[in-house]
Amino acid sequence: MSKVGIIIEREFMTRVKNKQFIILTLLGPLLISLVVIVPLLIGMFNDDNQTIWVDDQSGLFVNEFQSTTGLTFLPLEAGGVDWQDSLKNAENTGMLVIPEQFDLYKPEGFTYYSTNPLGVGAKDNITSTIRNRIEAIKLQESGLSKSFIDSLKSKVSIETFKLTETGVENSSTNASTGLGFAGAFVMYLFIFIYGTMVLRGVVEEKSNRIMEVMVSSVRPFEMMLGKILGIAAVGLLQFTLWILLSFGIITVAQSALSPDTQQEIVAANAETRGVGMLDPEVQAEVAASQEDMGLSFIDELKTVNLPYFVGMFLFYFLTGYLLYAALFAAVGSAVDNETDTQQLLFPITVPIIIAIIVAQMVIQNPTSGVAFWFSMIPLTAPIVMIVRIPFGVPGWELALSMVLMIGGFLFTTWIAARIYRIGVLMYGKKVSLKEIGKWLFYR
Amino acid sequence: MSNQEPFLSVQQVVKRYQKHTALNGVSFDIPQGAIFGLLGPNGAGKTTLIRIINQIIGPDEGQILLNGQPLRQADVRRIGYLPEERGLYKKMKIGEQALYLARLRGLTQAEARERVKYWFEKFEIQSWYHKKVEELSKGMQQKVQFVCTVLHRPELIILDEPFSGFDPINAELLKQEILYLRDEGATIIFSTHRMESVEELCERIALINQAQVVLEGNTRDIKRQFSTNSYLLRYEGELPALSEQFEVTHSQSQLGMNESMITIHQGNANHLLQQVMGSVTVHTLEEQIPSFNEIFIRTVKNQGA
Repeated sequence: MSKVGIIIEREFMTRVKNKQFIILTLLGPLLISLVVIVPLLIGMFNDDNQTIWVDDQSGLFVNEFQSTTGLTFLPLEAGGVDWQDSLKNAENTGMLVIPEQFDLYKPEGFTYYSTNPLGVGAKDNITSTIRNRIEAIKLQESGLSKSFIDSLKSKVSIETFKLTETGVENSSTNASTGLGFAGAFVMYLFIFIYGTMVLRGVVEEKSNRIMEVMVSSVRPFEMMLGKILGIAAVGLLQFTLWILLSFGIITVAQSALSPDTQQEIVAANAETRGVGMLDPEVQAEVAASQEDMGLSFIDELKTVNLPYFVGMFLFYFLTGYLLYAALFAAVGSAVDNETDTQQLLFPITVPIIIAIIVAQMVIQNPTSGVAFWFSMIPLTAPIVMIVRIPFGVPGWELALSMVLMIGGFLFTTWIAARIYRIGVLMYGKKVSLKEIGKWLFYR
Repeated sequence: MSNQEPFLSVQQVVKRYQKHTALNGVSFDIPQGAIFGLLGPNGAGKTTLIRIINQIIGPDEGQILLNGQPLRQADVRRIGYLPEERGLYKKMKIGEQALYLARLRGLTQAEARERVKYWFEKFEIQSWYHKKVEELSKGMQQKVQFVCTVLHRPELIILDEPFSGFDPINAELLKQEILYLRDEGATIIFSTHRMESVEELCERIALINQAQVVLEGNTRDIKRQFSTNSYLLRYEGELPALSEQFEVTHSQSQLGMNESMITIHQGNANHLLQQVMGSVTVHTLEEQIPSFNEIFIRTVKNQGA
């Protein structure tokens, strides 16, 4: 095996066998899937049913409060029992008192009694029910019918199409935005996490004085290359495991929740979002539209070429990582310990942060000049280009950017190698950027 | 030995850094199977020279021949180097580290395994195999590092301050190993400040000061060269008046025994004995050979002046 191969093997194996890596690799997908699953579960297990007695002294709200999942409204029978005492002993029970008289134009005097505080959702539900009812009464007084008012509300949706040379494609702004930004963010994280890993590795070798032994066996360039490639392999493994495990967990969790429960949950979500007080028809419509949205997002996702996106992501991740990892390695070689890295890391972190800021602008307008230029500059291209890809990027732009990426990482690797070979043997000296600049021209 | 081609030949090596010259025309030869002392005060250029021999850096001028051939990159597997500032990966098991370093020096996995086993048994450190470096004491780490240096059976072993951090028992063990490796045919370069170990081990030395070799050669010859022809005479009785070729520089008496330091300007110790034998009972006559410590200090100081 070549020396670089031996180094790659060590860098890879020591990290993969590390407990931290194993925990993070397993925890990552769990966190990702939790984001998807938890809302479902909350809907499912939220059986902490709260009962609210409604003492409607005004008589205006008969049958207005609709019970929803987790929230039951019951009219209080006339003939005041000593409800305050019974409330004290009851859990999850409250009493809403609507005064006999209140000003429609300045509604006040509504009170709620309970041993436990009123939840935000329940509070929203109550206030919007009261508000809707008051509005309805006002409408009645003004002589306009509710159906007329409803007919005034118009629902507008825009279906976007993209004109291409081959014809018209259904384009999907939602999915593109989501995918692009998620991709950019993951790219940003990965470059930082693995770049820092390279930095730490180099600093470790230097501060533990392993360098001198190593450097007499292998050329510094081989050492640097082995480390960077070994950690790249760790990154790819982690990325692949995350994707596979996340999909696995989500699929399992989804099949565990039967379609029926899913329906229920969608409906329940719709209700808790405050649709409950609308007419049953409207309710159904809203629920349907929400389901639509969920479905259409998946449909939209299908219109994006996922394998192409993943392929591009991998290309930009690899080249972007290689580009930055070389710079991180150079910084690591120039310092004696990790605390000295801050000042030298600054010029490296700035472009990454600029890229993530630009990415947010590019999302608004993926074909702007800013988008073009920042997806050409190799330092920002991995993040900015990945935002643009789901929206479609002209072939020549992509090709140019990819060529520039490859050139870019070769260039930074060359620079880093020159800094590294001097830096690794330089001890006890705090170096400045200017000093490092000089190293580039040493023989 | 002198008619043999030197094993390692350093020829007119020059290395300049931006503000100073680290090596200025350094030359010396090391014969096969010798223990060679590379001496010099801090900052003299020893480490630079060792790095050049290890091909970590290249010389600006001059060359280094190994068995008459210029050094090539492939020669690293013939060299074992124990740096002065040495370390190991803290979180790695020491067995794995030894394997790793051996493989980087060109051994196959199987060879490396076998060599690690052999040396760990020899140093009685098999039980440490699965320990991490951070669990070992400094002295233990030094042992492991020495093993890592010689695992791949290098023909040339370069030891930079090998005894630092060793207790006397382990230092003795290390010394025996160095002699053993020499007997097996290895050539050893030994860089140190500890002159007593130089006297015990080295056959030849080179003293580098201010980027130049100021003293080089066989240790015995060097000692003779630095000898001041002083003799310490221990005797009973009264010292007679001596002829002009002898000069008594110092005398003292201790527990009924007299001691005199006598410098011989002409002739030799036998002539001195002939003159004193009639008057005193001679117990010992001992040539005052300068220690390497003295030689070192004297040479470096003279040069500085």
